[in-house]
Formats: sequence, structure tokens, C-alpha cells
Amino acid sequence: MKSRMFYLIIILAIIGLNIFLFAARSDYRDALAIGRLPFIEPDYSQIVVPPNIAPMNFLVKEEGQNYRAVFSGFNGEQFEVISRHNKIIIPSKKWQTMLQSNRGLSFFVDIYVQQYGDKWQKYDRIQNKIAEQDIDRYLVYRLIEPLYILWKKVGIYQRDLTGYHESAVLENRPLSGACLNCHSFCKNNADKMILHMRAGPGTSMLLNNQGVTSRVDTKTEFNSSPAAYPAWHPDGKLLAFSVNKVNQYFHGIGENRDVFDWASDIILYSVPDYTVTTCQKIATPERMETWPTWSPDGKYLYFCSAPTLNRNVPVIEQYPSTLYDLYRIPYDPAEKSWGELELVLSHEVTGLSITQPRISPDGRFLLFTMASYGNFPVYRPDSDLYMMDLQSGTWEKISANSDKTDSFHSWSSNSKWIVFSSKRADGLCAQPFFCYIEKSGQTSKPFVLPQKDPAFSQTFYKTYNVPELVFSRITVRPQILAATALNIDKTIKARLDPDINFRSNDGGDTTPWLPAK
Amino acid sequence: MAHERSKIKAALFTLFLYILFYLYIWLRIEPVLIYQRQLPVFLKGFRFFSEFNRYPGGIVDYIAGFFRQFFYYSWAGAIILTLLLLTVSTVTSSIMNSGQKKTGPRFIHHIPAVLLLVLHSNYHHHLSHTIALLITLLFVRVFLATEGMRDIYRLVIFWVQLFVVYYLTAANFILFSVIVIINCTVVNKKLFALTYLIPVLLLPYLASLFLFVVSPKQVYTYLLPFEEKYAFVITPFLLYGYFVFLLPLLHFVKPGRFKLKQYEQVTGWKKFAVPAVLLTFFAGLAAFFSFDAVTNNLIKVDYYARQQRWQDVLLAVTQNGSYLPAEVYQANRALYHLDKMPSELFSIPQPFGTDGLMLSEDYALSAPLQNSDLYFEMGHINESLHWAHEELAKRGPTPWVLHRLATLNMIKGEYNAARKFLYVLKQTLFYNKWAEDRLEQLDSHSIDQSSVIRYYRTINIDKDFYFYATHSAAELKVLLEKNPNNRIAFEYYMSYYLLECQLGNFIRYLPLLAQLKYPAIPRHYEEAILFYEVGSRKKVNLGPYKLSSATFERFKNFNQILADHNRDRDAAQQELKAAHGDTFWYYLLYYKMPKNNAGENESQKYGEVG
Repeated sequence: MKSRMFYLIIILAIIGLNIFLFAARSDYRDALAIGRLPFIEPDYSQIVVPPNIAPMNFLVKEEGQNYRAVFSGFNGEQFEVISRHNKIIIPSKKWQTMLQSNRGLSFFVDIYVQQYGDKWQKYDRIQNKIAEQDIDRYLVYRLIEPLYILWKKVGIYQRDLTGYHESAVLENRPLSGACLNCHSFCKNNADKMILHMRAGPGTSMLLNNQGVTSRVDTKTEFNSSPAAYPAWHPDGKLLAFSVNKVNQYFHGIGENRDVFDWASDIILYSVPDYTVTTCQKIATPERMETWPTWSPDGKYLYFCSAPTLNRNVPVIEQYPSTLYDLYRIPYDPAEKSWGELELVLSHEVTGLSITQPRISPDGRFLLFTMASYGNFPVYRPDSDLYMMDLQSGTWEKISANSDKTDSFHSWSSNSKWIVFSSKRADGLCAQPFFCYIEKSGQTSKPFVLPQKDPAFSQTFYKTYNVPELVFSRITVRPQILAATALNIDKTIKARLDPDINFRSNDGGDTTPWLPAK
Repeated sequence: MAHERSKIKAALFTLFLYILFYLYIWLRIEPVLIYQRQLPVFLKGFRFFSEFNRYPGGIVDYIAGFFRQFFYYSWAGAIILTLLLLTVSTVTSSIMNSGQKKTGPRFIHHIPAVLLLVLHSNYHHHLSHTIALLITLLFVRVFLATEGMRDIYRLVIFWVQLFVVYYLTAANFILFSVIVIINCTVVNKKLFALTYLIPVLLLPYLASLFLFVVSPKQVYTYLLPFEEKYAFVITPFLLYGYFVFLLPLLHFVKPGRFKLKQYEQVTGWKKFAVPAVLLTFFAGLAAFFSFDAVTNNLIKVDYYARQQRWQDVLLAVTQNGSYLPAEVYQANRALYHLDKMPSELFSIPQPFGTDGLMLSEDYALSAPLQNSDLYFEMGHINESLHWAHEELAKRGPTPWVLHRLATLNMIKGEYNAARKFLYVLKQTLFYNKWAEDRLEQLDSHSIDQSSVIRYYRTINIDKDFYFYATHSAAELKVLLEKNPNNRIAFEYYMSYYLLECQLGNFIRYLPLLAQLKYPAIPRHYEEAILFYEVGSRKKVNLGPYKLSSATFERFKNFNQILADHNRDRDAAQQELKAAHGDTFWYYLLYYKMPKNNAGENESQKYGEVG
């Protein structure tokens, strides 16, 4: 009996002690104001977010033993995330409810950190805006280790931006290690897609035309190089491509890779009749034409071009002064007729080399990349994004740029969002960043693709290439795409328009990149 | 009682046999060399695992990757391999003893272990193949335990097992199916088992249509060892054939049917000893003949170079005498590190010229990390980084390449990139502590005080220049211009021009000898200077140095031998080789002046012999 009493007293004492300690703990509401914003990673502060984006989990980079993040919408609803470590993992349903009920308004995040001395500290409130307009639900990109010469594991993936689910569109494992690249969609529609495959089962283009897949060899008597940088005509029946003779060299300091073209031209590929055509205005031997893109009405083909390099002069003596201009040319697909070349923006005006033009689907803005020279901005740390107002013709550097490479951008179908690849985090691996586009063309502060584990990027050493927004999921299964890629016998051989009686000087199907064995 | 004694004897023999296997693996094969050759990749965490659960055989690859890390220590790797062989042998025995208790000839169940030993003597053989085989055999054993069950239940069990075997061991499902179907139809005479063929034929098709993205070739070959080039190409066929035919043979070859008269007369301990000795003898023979000494030495050279055991590098290269490009490359590195490059470069045959000094692009692409090593030592940080990235692409995040990438980025001041590789390195087994220490240094900003980082920053290039992926003397020149005290750049630069026999460029940089405080002109430099002076009739300004009389004497003797043979190089070669084979003059006369025979080995990539 005594013994029972003894244990009872002990248990009551423990309970009492806990109650005392709990009561004695400081309340976070009495937290000491720090007077600055908290350091959070990724930086999800002062941004505009799409109302359909996945919960933007983050790390609080402040020392402490307990963490509390209070999320509140402009309309008043509130929820909290309490964590013993510095990872703030936001519950999906509460997040989505908050975003949906505050479209066009703001939401706030109050961060509290309990110090080891038990005191809570409060940081300045993070205020983010929720846009009215959704972002296209899927992001398609290529994942690859930073590429020098060799590649091994390459895959094209799609990510549902409303959550974290990533699935493979096609990986190169069953394709004898082929390189996969240059995925492209017609008007953000996943049902009209191409991607290129090099080496492995053979260099070719994989085409998904509303669920029907085919493998196309785009080389013709005109172009011995296969099709490279693509652009769908808005009618979905025509594709513009550059054909490039690509080469690579290296630098002794800084970013050590550099890529240049010895030659390049532009061709058009007609999907229904597998025909390649071109004209001398976009395939002249005197100039290197590349990076084609169509105006949303399909009446103009925009592209970049620079004088062809002199093969008798070492490339390193001429390439650093090679600057590309932005041109456009009218094209009538029905008549297959070309208009006259128009210089849209000259390097003489910008002092920089223009590449990667992409026009917003509403036709209002043209987003392009400029770097100190060359046509491969991915390897130029000074490459930045610029926005041109196509109504006024004015252009300016967007505020979303960083001191590292910013390039490879894509528009959402509603012209309100852009995604681009940025190496700002570490100068090595590109990550997709998103911006909201104001009516004026101004960009909001960019934010990185949200991840389920906010520490994801710490150990992720692959690079996100060519992020493209699409409004629907790619439904063609990887098994079907792989089977198409492996079915060499059913390769469609592109044929050359019989009216084309000149030849590209693209120099053959070689690239500086090789599969690792 | 006799049965018990027999069991003890068998156990003792097994113990003896596997101790021999262990010693052979540990001391002869040396699992650390398998580690060196295959460079396993294994990271902690679900993200890494998730890459393996998406394809048939991935789980086995993952398991093998985990165990291969321990090959870092030969003794531990030998334990793993020996236990694996013992398990295969035990499961084989269990399969033989299942059902109708036909045990077959004594010790026959050790044969697969012997064959696997032969396969593992090849440094390309993957552990995942052996693990896949073992798992397949385990599933076979489980299926055999269902004998006596109703056919329909066995069919269902077979379907489930088939899928699991396919998922775990990829193409080994074929072996599983063949053993099961043969056993059911031929041994047990259950023709119903022919229906098992239906799922066997359908499974790969359906799985590759709906579940996995695999090519037809991968369906039928992945994790099978038939494509590897073994010393005995027949070995994997013998191994798999053994399992296919084991049960039918045990069934049909009744005890006593083929009686060997002499063997029948053997009684007592000899009945036990004869098969034991025979097995041990054949195991020894197989091990002896399957051992790939050339590849072993090549990897050893590479291993010693990685461990910076330079004397061992030289010893291994010269003892073996095959002078493969990779061996010459590492031997040259060793000569530098032992302060012997300017005086003993030509004591190693240099048939590959500058491609033995610095790897050509073709070779470098097959050994990127080795190429990165040299550039790192020279302080050509960007080029070392370039090749480290090639290694990352080629072999994945191995600890060594992560270590290198982190270090290079710290030297470059790219701390965020360095952090990334350090965080990944933290997920490895043996380098996590190093990574944690560096991360702490980065966080506390004390990394800039590191003597290694500071040293490489002093010799790294600070002005941009352009180059292609193949080596050139221009890179060495830039390094020297940045820091004339960069001794390795100097010696490689001088060696480069000696090997190219471009003595004008060589002479131009001789004044650096004094700056780098060489006590005298190194032997090969003297040989080249003398040859240059005689050939050009120009006196070279040697500053505080002068040519030794011994060199004059040797040159005189070299010319005398040539003259004795009427300047017929072919006739004089033997004598010259014996007296002056380790001189610049000999290299010039027999490697450089006639057709360069470096091309003969162009097809042999770094480390890809054998």
C-alpha cells in the first residue's frame, strides 16, 4: 500500500513539474521584435505567387530551438506551422484554401523563433501577393548533370506545379544513353510536343502530335546537321528549327565552358508532309541564323543572327566579339511565301549579343536574353533577360536578373507568368525561377520552384534545362515514347522541298558532346 | 555416428575451402582494386534510393552499391565476397536437397562458388550480378518448398514470385523460370507447369508496356553476366547452365548408374578426401588461370597513384613492363613527385610522347578523374574542374569526385557550389567527416586560412585564356607565367618539349632552373642541351651552371656506338639500348625520329585493357 502511495506521489510530482514548466515557458505572442525580415531559404518574401502553386516550404535560417510560422490571408483566416527544426512544411489544404480565398490580395507570414534561452523572437512580417491568374499547371524540363563533354543520365520530366509530383516524360536509360533535349510545345499544349534525341538509337526528333508519336530524321540534302533549337508555328503544323554546327572551347578562369557555332541556318519542317523548306534570307552562308520563334499570330518568324565566323582565323580571336542581332521576317504558310527581312534590334544598339527571343502568347512582349557575346547564354554568367514592349519597341533589362546566368525562359499561356533558368544559387546548377508579369511588362521578384523538402537544392547537383510551361499534363506514356525512339525502322525521313536548290554549310552531324561509356 | 562424423568433416572442409577463397580474394584479387576500378556510388537518403526502384534490377544495384563501398578495405570486401559465395553454395545445396532428397556427388554444390570466384577475378564483374543470382536461387528454393501443394496454388505462387524476381533481379527471371519449369515438367512430370510459360512470356512485355521503361535488350540481358569479357568466356554459361541442368541431372543420373570402378574401390577417409582434393585443385587451377594480371597491375598503378604511393607506382610499372598509356602517365606523375622527372623521365619508355605525359582527349574521356588529378597538382583549377565534371557525368557522385569538386570550388571561391558537393559528400560512408569539417570551415569563413586553398590560389591562373579539351604546352606556359615557381608546371613544360623534341622552346625556359634552385642541370636537360648545341652549333647560356663532363663522355660513347655500326640505327639499337636506353638521345633516335608507334595503342583506353 505504502509502495503504491509512493509511486502515486512520484507520478503526481512529475505531472506537476511538467505543468509548472509548461506554464513557465514564454509565450510566442510575447516575443521580442527583431526589427528585420527573417532569413529564409528559398527566399519566398515580397513575391507574387500564383494562386495554384504548391505549398512553398522553406527553411528558417535563424538559430533557435523551436520555430513557428503563422500564415494569414488578407481576408483574415490564419494557420500555424510549428516545428522543432527549421523546416517549415506547410499543410497543403490550408495553403490552397488561403491562396484561393485571397486571389488578387496578399498573405502574410510571421516567423517566431524560440531561442535556447527560451525567449521567443519575432521577425518582421513577410508580405506576399497572390496573383489573380493561375500559372500553367505543368512545368517540363530536362535534368542533367552540369554538361561539359560527357553525358550519361539524361531525362525529360514534368512537374505538377500545384504539388510536388514529378514524373519522367522520357529518360535515356532504355535508349542506350541517348541525349534528350530541346523539348518544345505548341502554344503551351502538351499534346503537341517535340524533343530531340542524339546518339543512342540514332539522332532524330520525337514528335507527339495529339497522342500519335513518330520518330523523324530531320536531316535532308540541305542540312546535314539535324534540327536543333525549335519553335512551333501557332497553327501546329509547322516547326522552325535552327541547324547548327556547334563547337566548344574552354576558359582558363571563371566559367570555363564556351560554345559557339561555326555555322547555322534556319529551316521549316512541315508536320503533315514531312517536308523541310527554307529560304536564303534565313539560311544565308554569310550569316549564322539561330534561335527562331514565331509571333503568336504566326505571321512573323523572329530569329537571331550574326556574321559567319571566318574559319581561317582562330575562333578564340573572333568569337568574343561576335554579337547577334534580332531579326524578323514575314511568312505566309498558306502561300509558302517570305517577306523582307526586318532588323528588330541591333547589337550596335544594345552593345550585347541577343539570343533566345520568346514572344508572350498575347503578342505584347518579347522576352530575350543578352550576353556580352555569342549565342549560347547558358555558359555566359553575364547573360540576363530583357523585355521588349512590341507596341512601343522599347526594351529594358528585367528586375528579376541576378549576377549569374539567367536564360532559357518560357511564357505561360495567359502571358502573366514566365519561368526561366537561373544559376543564381551556386553559379553551377540552373533552377527554374518564376515571375509575375505586370501589365506594364514589369516583373515581380522571382521565386524558385517549391519543393517538398525545402533543403532539396542543398544536395541536388543536376541542372534544370529549358523549363517550359504547359497547361495540361503530357499524357503520352514514357513507354510509348521509348518504343517510338527505339523503332528505327519506322523513322520518318524528312524530305527536302524540291524548290530548295542551295545547301547549308552547317558542316555535318557532329557536336562537342559525347555519351559517357 | 558415421553420418555425424561425415557432416563434421564436410563442415571442416567447407571452412577450409572458404578460408582459401577468402585469402585468394583478399590477397590476390584485392577488393580495393575492384573499388578502384568500379568506383561505387552510394548515398544515404531516399532520393538516391528512389533512382533505383524505378527499373527491374534497380534494388539489386542499390544493395550491391551499398556493399561495394566496403571494398574500400580489401579485408572487408573479401569477407563480403566470401560470404556471398558461401551463401550461394548453401542455397545450391539446399536446392539439391529439396524434394526428393537427392544430394548428388559430394561437394558438387561448391561448383557455383568456384565459378563465381572466376567471374570475380575479372575486375569488371559487378557484384550486382552475383547478388541477383543469389536472390534468384533463393526464390527457386522457396518455390521448390511448395512441392505437394495443389497445382493451382503453385501457379499463383509462381506468378507472384516471377514478378518479384523480375523486379528485383531483372533478366534473371529467365533462369528462375527455366529452373522451375524444367523441375516441374521433367523432374516432377507435371505437364501442367507448361502453363507457367504464359506469364513468363507475357511478363516482360506487359511490364515494359505499363510498369517500367526498359528496352527489349535490357529486359533479356540486364544483370546477366554474359556480355562481359571474362578470361574464360564460357564461365557465365557454365554457371547458369549448372543451375539449369542440376535438378534434371540429379533426377536422371541415379546413384550407381555410372560407377567408376577405381573410385568405387576407394573407402574410408579417401572417399571424402578425393572429391575434396579434386575440388580444391580445380578451384585453384580456375583461380590461377582466370586471374587477370595485366588489369590487376594497371589498377594497382592507378590505386597507388590515388594513394600518392609514388615509389609503388614506379615499382608496379617497371615490374610489369607492359607500359600501357595509363601506366606511363602515372609513372611520369610519380617521377615528378619523387623529384626524378628531369633526370629519369626516359628511364621509363615513352612511346606515347606527350600523350603519356598528359592524357590526350580520347584517353582523358575514359579516365577523367585521373586527368583532373594532374591539372589539380599543376594548379590549372579550371581544367581540373572540367575533368572532374566529366568524371561526375561518367561515374556519378563517387566520393572522390565530390571531394575534388568541393575542393576546386573552394579554391575558386565558389562557396555555394562547394557547399552543394560537400552536402552530397556528407551522405557518403567514408568522407562524411571531412565534408562536415569543410562545411564548418565555410560557415565560419575560416576556409580562406586553409594552407591547401591558399597554395592553390597562388599558383592558379588569374588571366583568361582559351583552349580545347586536348592538352597543349600553352596551358603549361600560362601556368608558368602566372607563377614561375610552379615547379610541376616547369618540369612538365620542359618534359613536354623534350618529348616533342622542340628544343628551342625547351632552351628558352632553362633560366628558370636557377630561380627554382636546382643544384645542377638535371641529366636529361644536359642531354638535350648538348644535342641542341651540337645540332645548332650555338652555345646555350647556362647561367651559373655548366654541363657535366660525364654527360659529354656519355654523348661521346653514344655516338661512338652509332659510328661502330656505320650509323645504322637498327644495327646499333641493341647496344645503345643497353648502354643509353634511358637517355633523351635514345628516345630521340628510336621513338621520335622514326615513325611514332604511339598510335598502335590508340584503341586501348585508360584502364580498359583486359
